[in-house]
Amino acid sequence: MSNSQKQSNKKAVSVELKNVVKQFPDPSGGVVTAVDDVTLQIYDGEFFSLLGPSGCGKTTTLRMIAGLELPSSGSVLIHGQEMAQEPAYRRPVNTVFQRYALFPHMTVYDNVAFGLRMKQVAKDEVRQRVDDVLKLVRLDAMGQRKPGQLSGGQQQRVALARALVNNPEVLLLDEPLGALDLKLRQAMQDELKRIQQTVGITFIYVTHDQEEALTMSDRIAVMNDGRVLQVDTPYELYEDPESRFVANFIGETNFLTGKTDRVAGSLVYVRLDNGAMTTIETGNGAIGETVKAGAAVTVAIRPEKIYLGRGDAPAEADNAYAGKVENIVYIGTDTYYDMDLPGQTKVTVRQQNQDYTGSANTLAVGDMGYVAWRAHNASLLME
Amino acid sequence: MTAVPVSKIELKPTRRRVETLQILGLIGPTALYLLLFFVFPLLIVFVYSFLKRGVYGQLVWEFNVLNYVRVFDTLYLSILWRSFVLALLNTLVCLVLAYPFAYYIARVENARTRNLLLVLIMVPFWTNFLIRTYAWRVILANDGPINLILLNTGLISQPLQLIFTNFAVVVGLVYGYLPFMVLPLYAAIERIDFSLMEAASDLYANGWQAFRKVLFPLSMPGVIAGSILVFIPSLGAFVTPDLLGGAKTVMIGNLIQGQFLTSRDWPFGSAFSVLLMLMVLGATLIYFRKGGRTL
Repeated sequence: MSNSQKQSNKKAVSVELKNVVKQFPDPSGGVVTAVDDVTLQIYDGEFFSLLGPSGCGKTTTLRMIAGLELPSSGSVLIHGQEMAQEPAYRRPVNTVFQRYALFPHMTVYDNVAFGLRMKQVAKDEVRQRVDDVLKLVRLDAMGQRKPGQLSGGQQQRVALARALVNNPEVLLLDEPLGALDLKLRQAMQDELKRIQQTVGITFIYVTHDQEEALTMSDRIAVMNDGRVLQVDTPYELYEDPESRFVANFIGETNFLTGKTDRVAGSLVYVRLDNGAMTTIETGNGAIGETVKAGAAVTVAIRPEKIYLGRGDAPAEADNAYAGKVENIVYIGTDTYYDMDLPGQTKVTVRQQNQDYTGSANTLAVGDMGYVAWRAHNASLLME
Repeated sequence: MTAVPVSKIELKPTRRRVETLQILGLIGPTALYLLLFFVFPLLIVFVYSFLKRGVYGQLVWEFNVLNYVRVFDTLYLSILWRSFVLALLNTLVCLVLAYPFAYYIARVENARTRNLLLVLIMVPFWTNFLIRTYAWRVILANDGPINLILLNTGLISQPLQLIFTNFAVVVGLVYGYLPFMVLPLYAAIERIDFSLMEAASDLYANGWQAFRKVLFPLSMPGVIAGSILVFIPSLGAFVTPDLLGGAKTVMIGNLIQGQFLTSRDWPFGSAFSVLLMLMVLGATLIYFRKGGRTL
């Protein structure tokens, strides 16, 4: 890594991928590009997630960091060392596999000690470190059991201990909670986060579960079709998605298409396809440099950020439009209202059931009402 | 609705009789066949092994253990020992040759290629074993293709004595029993989750270490099954040593055959047969015990 790069990053870079491409031969004789020109920087001590639908290339990316897959081209740097063509056993990283991949013929203790023994660590130290890590994952009494005698959650913790005991520079986790049921998964999320904060190791976490990624990560890279679409904090990703895919994959979104009418500072005025005007306040000041008047754009607005009112829209409200309730879905914590706006435009509103008293004080199907949202709550997508 | 405990459910007598008939129908024919043509002859052999040979080869009903004492003649002990060593050697060679091949078949992703390879293992069975063994006799003969090639390329000036040696016997045995090693190994390796090998590699094990610590121990059921399938029949083999080993490389099988057919000493042949069975049983038990621990 050059000096100038080092100075520009406040935090030390743990893993860096530069233009990484992975192609697989395809049964019909062609090639499939699983990972397409991925460039990423992951910092020391960070909980970093690779998030995307199945087949988006997130697992292949992780496997290239682990050395279980070698990139077709590009660089994989771990703490500045080029590792792209090194085999897995020469890399200072360890993996928690999706289905744990515990050695069924060894005890929990021997599973955890495996990496240390391969590295020929002294016997006493092996015992000490294995005992410590089993304590960390709360399995100190299970050392002499075989993996087959453990529950799914316990096996998961053994897999974690087996990787952590080696003090890797980076811990790679491939959908480690995928096989657990909901309650256990939530408990393990907290546990993982706790362990990550205790040991301070960089975690790279692959998941298709957006909620899991939002809950646990410092930063998330959203992937689709082998490409990284956006790398940001959970907050930025949710509040300010840069593409339709990201807006749709993380959380729920209403998309309204239109053309920009004019740009004034951080405000963009958009003429929607149904003829209505809407205002978007973008976070990054002089948006006028990138947004030209007349450009086709999509306005994204989250259902829970839309206010739903009865009667006529008050004159002072931002982005207020009259509409008719088409459908109501009650889901316990919240209620969804599908609103039919003029010009075949539909938006879904999500309201919290803070003081829900049935239909008495709320809108019913067929009622007229209005929707409204603040300009800074909508996002402008250039596609 | 109240559930009836399983133990309280009384089967009607007719129902029970039907089940008994079903079981008899399923295992009866095989059981009867084995009883008549396996257990009964075995008992005959066992009884004969305590009898005496008459002057003209007839059986003399005088019970004694002299047949078993005779086995401890150095001549017979050396034949026993040679049989044991050759069978063991055969098993080891088969294991070493079959393992990589079985591993490869198990790892091939294309199902058609895999099936083709498995069928190829079976192809030799389409020809009679005796004929295939005679073919080896031609191949290994002093004026056979191997010696001709070596002589013509000038690597040797005198034909090598290949046929009628221990070497020829092992070659023939390996050739005959290799498929019995490949198939159980393939079945065992195919069941192993390959991500375990990746996990080993991720935990700093190089290829050899991953094989020794993970793949091989997990494939032990196949190793044991294959070894038993190869070791047992090769210990009692008589066609291969007879055709490829000649008069010098006699194995237990040939000895027993000779006692029954040439020397007409059925009691001594029987004693040897019983001994061979005990050896096989002992070796199998030891092997299972040893293997059982690593499983």
